[in-house]
This record gives sequence, structure tokens and C-alpha cells, in this order.
Amino acid sequence: MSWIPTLGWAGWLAIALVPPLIIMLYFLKLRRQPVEVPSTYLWRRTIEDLHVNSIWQRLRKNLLLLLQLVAVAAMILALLRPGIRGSESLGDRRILLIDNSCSMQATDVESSRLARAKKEALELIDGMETNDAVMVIAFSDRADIRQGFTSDKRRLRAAIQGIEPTFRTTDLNEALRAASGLANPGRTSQMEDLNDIQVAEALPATLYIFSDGGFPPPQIDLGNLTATYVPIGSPDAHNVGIVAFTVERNAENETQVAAFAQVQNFGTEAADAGLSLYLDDELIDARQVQIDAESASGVEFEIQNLETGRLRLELEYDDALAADNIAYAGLDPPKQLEVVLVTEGNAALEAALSTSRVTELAAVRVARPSELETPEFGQLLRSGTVDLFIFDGCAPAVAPEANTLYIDALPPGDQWGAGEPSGPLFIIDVNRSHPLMQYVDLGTVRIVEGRALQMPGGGTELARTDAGILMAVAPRDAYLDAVIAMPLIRRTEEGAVPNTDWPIKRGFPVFFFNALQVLGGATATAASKSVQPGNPVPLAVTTRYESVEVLRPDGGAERLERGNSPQFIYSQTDLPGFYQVTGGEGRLLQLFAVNLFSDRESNIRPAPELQIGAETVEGKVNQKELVRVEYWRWLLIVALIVLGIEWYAYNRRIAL
Amino acid sequence: MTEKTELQLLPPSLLARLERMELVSRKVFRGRLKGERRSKRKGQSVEFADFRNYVPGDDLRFVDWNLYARLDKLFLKLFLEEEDLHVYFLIDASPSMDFGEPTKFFAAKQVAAALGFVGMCRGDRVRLEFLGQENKTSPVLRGRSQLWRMLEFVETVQPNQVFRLTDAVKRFCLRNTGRGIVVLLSDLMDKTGYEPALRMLLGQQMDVFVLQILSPEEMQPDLSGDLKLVDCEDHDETEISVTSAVLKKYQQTLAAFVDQARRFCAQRGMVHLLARSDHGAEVIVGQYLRERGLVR
Repeated sequence: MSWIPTLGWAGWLAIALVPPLIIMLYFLKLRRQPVEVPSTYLWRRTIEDLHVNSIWQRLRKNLLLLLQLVAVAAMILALLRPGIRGSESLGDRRILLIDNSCSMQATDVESSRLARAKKEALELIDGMETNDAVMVIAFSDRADIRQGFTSDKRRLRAAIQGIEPTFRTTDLNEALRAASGLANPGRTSQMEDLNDIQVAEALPATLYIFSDGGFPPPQIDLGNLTATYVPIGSPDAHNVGIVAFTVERNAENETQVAAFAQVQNFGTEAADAGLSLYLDDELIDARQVQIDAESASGVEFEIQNLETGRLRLELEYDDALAADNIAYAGLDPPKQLEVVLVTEGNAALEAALSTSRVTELAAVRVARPSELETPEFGQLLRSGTVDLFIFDGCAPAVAPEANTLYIDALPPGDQWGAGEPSGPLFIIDVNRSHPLMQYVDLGTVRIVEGRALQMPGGGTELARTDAGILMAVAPRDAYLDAVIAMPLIRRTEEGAVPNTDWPIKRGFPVFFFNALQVLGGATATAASKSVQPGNPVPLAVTTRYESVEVLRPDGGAERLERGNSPQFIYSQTDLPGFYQVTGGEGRLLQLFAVNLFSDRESNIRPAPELQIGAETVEGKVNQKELVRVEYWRWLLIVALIVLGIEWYAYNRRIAL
Repeated sequence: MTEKTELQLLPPSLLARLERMELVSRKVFRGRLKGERRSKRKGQSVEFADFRNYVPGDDLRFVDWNLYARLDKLFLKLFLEEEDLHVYFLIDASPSMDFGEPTKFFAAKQVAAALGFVGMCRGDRVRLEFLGQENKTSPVLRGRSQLWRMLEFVETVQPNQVFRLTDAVKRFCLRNTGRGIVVLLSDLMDKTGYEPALRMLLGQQMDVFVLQILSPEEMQPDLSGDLKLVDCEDHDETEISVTSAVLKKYQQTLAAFVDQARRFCAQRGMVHLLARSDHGAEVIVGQYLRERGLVR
């Protein structure tokens, strides 16, 4: 119990005079009114009888006085502001950092760790002084300032109560930066520059971190901030979680899929857990895994005859954190590309575009250069429905609204340039790191004749001969143009003769397959993408879609417009589960999964201390110490009740 | 003045009712009913009335032995008993009687006048006496023509004398040794006690009626708060904080006081009657006293 006298000595002196004054007034009040009666004979006898209980009589006589004194005593005590108070004094400015990351959903304390953190924060608010300013920041992998500095307890409470749990990972850096923005202003005045005035005064503040400590040590200097770490969670909380789940196609058999999962036990006891694998909500496999304490175990599932689908792995184990007991992995649907080949006739090229892999991937339409001038073709060029145009020895007047590959021709416009044909040429360099050139060996290719390219800015060189750049790729607005500066076939008077022996090399069909994948937009990854909650996902959607719709796991849908960017980026990935990207006509274009997959979040044992920059902050478990529980309201209520009784007693002259 | 007093004290309607009443003594029989009942005591002023035959069980003392000697028959001498009755009204004239609305004193005067009128109409010897430091006594009144004298006498007395009830009754007893009916009209609020006074009246072998008159203010006091009660007689002061409990206790004390007086009288053959000063002579005489046998 501690006291905060709210008055100066003069005030207390005045207050001290009140009880004697009441007693004096009480005696003054007792000047009795004389009443003449026929005889006091009976009255005397009455009083004599009553005097038998003289103590009670006296008490009854003084009841009003006693009640008044009790009321005044309660009010004086209230003025002293008694309360239970922590040993350390609280700072005037306080910043409450409340962790709402996924691990705070753990149910090892009360309803959840977040609920406990909110409760403790609310207690802190209740105990704060009237003129204290408090700021509330909720943080996961990003910081959310829920309430700026204020001393309005109602708003602070509303801000704290409004914090919702998320599935995100934890990163304290951003929250600390937001908090230290006030305490450690970055700008300092320079002595020599008179115009540079320090904009903010450094204000020290106390930082309360309500968290389980499951985040990498933030590299930030606390400066004026005094950090207090309030660990939330039970030290012996146990959790088993799926920390990885991937799906891969067998390279030899496309329909065979292998799923790998890693399950980790973060508890101190061995766990025996069941794993159930669902394909499109139907159970297809189940395993039982034994995981030793604080170790991980891998599980592999093999699935036959699977082209596309959604895999869900569920861990059947009763632990404190449920969010990491389900993992999702999807298989992207195969894509059907629209490819238009414009050529006078090129057997090698047509053969390369009719392999089984290519036909699976794309539908190739062949057109003649004479058709280029027709309005229908012009419309096709502008329609955006074609994923890739391949121009063999010809070029359109206007660049099409699609990615293009030019063979022995240059894109329209003056961005590209080429020298005079020369030959023979020898390949001297190949850019193998570019996805177009993956698995393409040009080292033994012989070339009769070719030209040296000048590519526009931002272009990437793919292959170089002794004469100069032979192959290059460069962006054009949202599209890519690739150019091969040599003909595959030379048309002479004797007929068509090969210009190079590349078409008979193994690298030739591989290059065109790469071209379809990269330029056509078909990245043939087997498994769909998986990201952590809250992270943005770039959507690999072919260029002809101006807008796509993303269907979220909770059933909500969101439409994305392409605008000017070549890529769709989806960022509302807060919920774990499958997200489906569909085109305008409802065709499933892409599937991606959002999974927690964070051993930091899954490891829910609260950290006993925090390392912030160079400072170590010990966890302060007994948060209650900080809270000052005030009693003055209760005392005032008692005073009011006593006054009420006094008033009633005075009016009714009741005898107790 | 006289007429007004008469109207105040005894309205004509009351007088008409009173004329039909008579006073009854349990101890003294009136002579008009001679021969019908026997007296327990012989009359003092003996007047011979008649003879009758002796029947077994008659008192031999009343046998006329001279006639027996002459006629050899037993005859009983019958005496005409005293026809008139001494009726005394003792009215407490202390200041405490001057309370209530109407005052207890007024009620006492009214009852005494009414009963006196009854007696006077029946030829009884009526005497009113106001108890005080010096008792003020009326002349003996007899016959209804004396009504005006009685009323005039009643008007002359004011309740302003502080005295002890015992002393005043003693003075009465010393002067009046005769037997008869005594009606004491008082509130009995004497701090020295009323018991010696009553015993003294009993010693006179009188037929005693005690009419205790209390005002409504005494029976249900309308007091509250912190008060200083002042006795109107001896100016004794009593400080009191009137609460509902005190009022309750007062009621109990009053009831005990009245009950004690009633028992005291009952044990000694006296009649005690409690009357409220606001009830009026018509109710007190016509109803209460009739029930208790003083009038019929």
C-alpha cells in the first residue's frame, strides 16, 4: 500500500480541521428545544428504562456524528490516493508493443497468449497516472501503430482490444523503429547551419514488449528507450508443427508426384503424431510419426496419377499452437499457350515446335508472312490473346501486344539494329545463366552467315559470335523481344539450304522449349508457390490477362488490374491456405499456398530474455508489480454511502 | 356568563339525558326501595317505616321484642333508610390538568357537573371540591334548582395550584367524615404517588370512583427531535432525543402506569376509569360510567 498525497501542507491543515469542526457543530446542534409538558413523570421513567442500555443509547445518540466522521475519514483517505504500487516508478511516456504474430495464438495461457498480453496491457493502462502518455503498437513482421501517444484511457483500451491475431511471423525491428522515432529523433542540428533546427526533442520513454520473444534479435540501438520485456506464455508449452511441405513431380514420370514434409517437435517430450494427407479434401494417405524431443522428422508421400490438385497435410496432435498443424501445397495446372509462328515454311522450326512437350504446353498456329498485312492478323497482333509470336524471316509493321521471337529479322522501330551479314561465324560466348539458354549448347554449332546485333538499353545478351552479338533479349513495355540474328535456312536460287547445323543439334528443340516457357509465360514448375503469411506473391500470368481474380481461402475474392506493370503482385496473403488465381473466363491460371513454415513461430517456448542491439532485456514475469491499483474510488463510494445512511438516519431518526 | 358556562359545560341535550339517570352506590342503598332488599348496615338516621313477619334467616337484632311479648309473634321492624346520598366530587386543580384540547381540567369540571346534576336531580347531597393548596369547597347542593350555583362555583376556579395530592385529600378527609360516594377526577400524575391519597379515601369507608383523565397529547405524544421537556408544575427539565424507540417505550410506560392504577383500585374495591379529555362528558358519563356502575 502506498499513498500519493494530493494536497499541500496548507490543504492538509484545512482538512485536519474538518473532523473537530464536525464534532463542534454536532454539540452546537444539540441545543435542545424546550417543550412544556404536563408532567415529566412518565418521560423520566421512560428514559430511566432506556438508560439500562446506556452504551447503546450513547451510540445511538451519536450515530449521526459517527457516520459523519466515517464519511469524512473515507474522503480524507481518498485524497491520499492509496494504492498498491510497483517498486519502480513508471515513465511519463510509455510505448506498449503487443505481439500479434502467429505464435501468440498459442493457447498455453488462458484463452490465448494474445488475450493474456492484451489483458496485461489493459492492466497497465488501468494503473497509469492521469498525465501519462501511452502509445500502442501491434507488431508481427510489420508494425501497426494502433494508437499514437495519448492519455485517453478509453481510446487506449479500445486500441488494445482491437488488436486481432495474425498468422504472420515476427520481426521487432519495424516496431522498434516506430517506437524510437519519438525517443531518438534521427535529425540533429548542425552547429554551423543556422537554418537547421532540431525538429524534435528527444523524449525518453519506457517500452513494454508483450511478446513470447520468438523473433530474431533486432539490430537497433534503444537510445533513450528503456525496454521492459513482459514474456507471455508458459515456459513448458509444447508444440509440434509442420515446418516444411513441398511437392515435386518426378522428372521421368510427369504424373508421379512426391510430397515431402518435415515435422518438428519443439517440446521437451517425445511426440507420437499422426499425419493425414488430403487431396482436394479427400484423405489419400496417412502416416504415424515418432518425433523425439526437440528434433525434427521427415515424411515422404508418393502420389500416382496426379496432374493438378490441392494437397493438405494435417498433423493430428494436441498442442498449444494449432496454426502450424496444417500445411498446404498445390500442383499448378498445366498451361496451354497460344503461339503463332509466321514463316514461309521452315521444317526444322516446325519440327521443334511439334515435340510432345511443346504440344502439351502450347498450341502453335502457323501463318504466312503474306498474312501479316491482312486486317485479321493486325487484330490478332493487338488482341493480346497470343502468348508468343515467332517471326521467321519477317516482321510486322507494328510490334504485337505479346512477347516475340524474331529469327533473321528485327523488331519494328529503330531500337534494334544489325550489321551487314558476314560469315562464317563462331560462337564464342553463351549466357548460360539466362533461362532461355538453359541446357542449350551452342559450342559446336556452325554458322554460315549472320549479323551482329545492336540491342536497345536494358537488353540482355544471350550469345555472341566473333562478329558480335548473335542472340539477345530486351524488354519492350511489358513484353520481351528476343532476336536471333541469323537465318536458319537460306533461300537461294537452288532452293532452301541450311544456314547452320543448329537444328540438328540437341540444343535446338531445348531452346524453343525454353522460349515457350520464358517468353510464353509457362514456367513449368511442378509445385505451386508457397509463401509465408503476409508476404507478397508475384503472379506468373500470361500477358493477355488484363485482370485476374484471386479467390482467398476464406471464400473472399479480389480482382487485380494489371495497369502498367508487367506482373501482378498479390499481397493480401494473411490467411494460410490455397489462393486461386483465375482469368476472366474462370479458368484457373495459378494456384499458390500460404503456409506458416517458420520454426521461430512454431517454437512457442517464450524467450526468458531479449537481445535488442547490444542490450539484454530480462523478462519481467511479475507484470502486476507495475500496476498501481487505486482505492480512492472505493473510498469515495464508501463516503457517499455513509453520507446517504447519515441523511436517512437524520430524517427517519431510525434506531439501530 | 352563566348561560355560556352552562352551554359549554352542560348543553341542554346532555341535561335532558342526565335527568333520567341516577347515581348508584354499591355500599349505600337508597330508601325509596325499602323492603325489597336488605341493607348490610343499619341506617344511622333511623326512621321507622313498617313491620313485617319474621322469616327464618332474618337478623334477630331487628326483631321487635316488645311486640313479641305482647302478641307472641315475631315481627321485624323495618326502618326507612336514609334517602339522600352524600356525593363528593374531588377535582384536581393542578397546572398539569390545564393541558390538552379541550383541557383535562375542563373535562373534569364537565364530568363533575354532569354527575352532580344527576345527583341533585335525585335529591342527593352533592358537594364539589377543587383540590389545591387550599381546597376550595362548594356548599352542599341539593335539588336541580341549585344547578346555577354549582356552575357558578365551577367557573371560579383556575388550575394553577401546585400541591401534593395526598395533602389535599387529607384535608378533604379531615373535614368530611360522612360516608358516601367520592369521585376523584385527576390525572394521577403526582411524582410523590397517588396511592396514599386513595388509601385515605378508602379509610373513610367511602365508595370511591377514580376517574383518571389524560389528554390525547399525553397518550400519543407528537414529539420528535432533540428536546428539553419542562415540567409545568415543578419546572423539572428532562433532556430527551425522541426516537421511535423512545416513543414506543413511553407508550409502554404509560400503559404500565394506567394498569398499575387500575390494579391498585381493583384490589381495594375502588372503581378506576381511564378517560380521554377529548371524549366529552356525554361519552364519559353516558357510556363509561354507566358501564362501570356509577350511574344508571
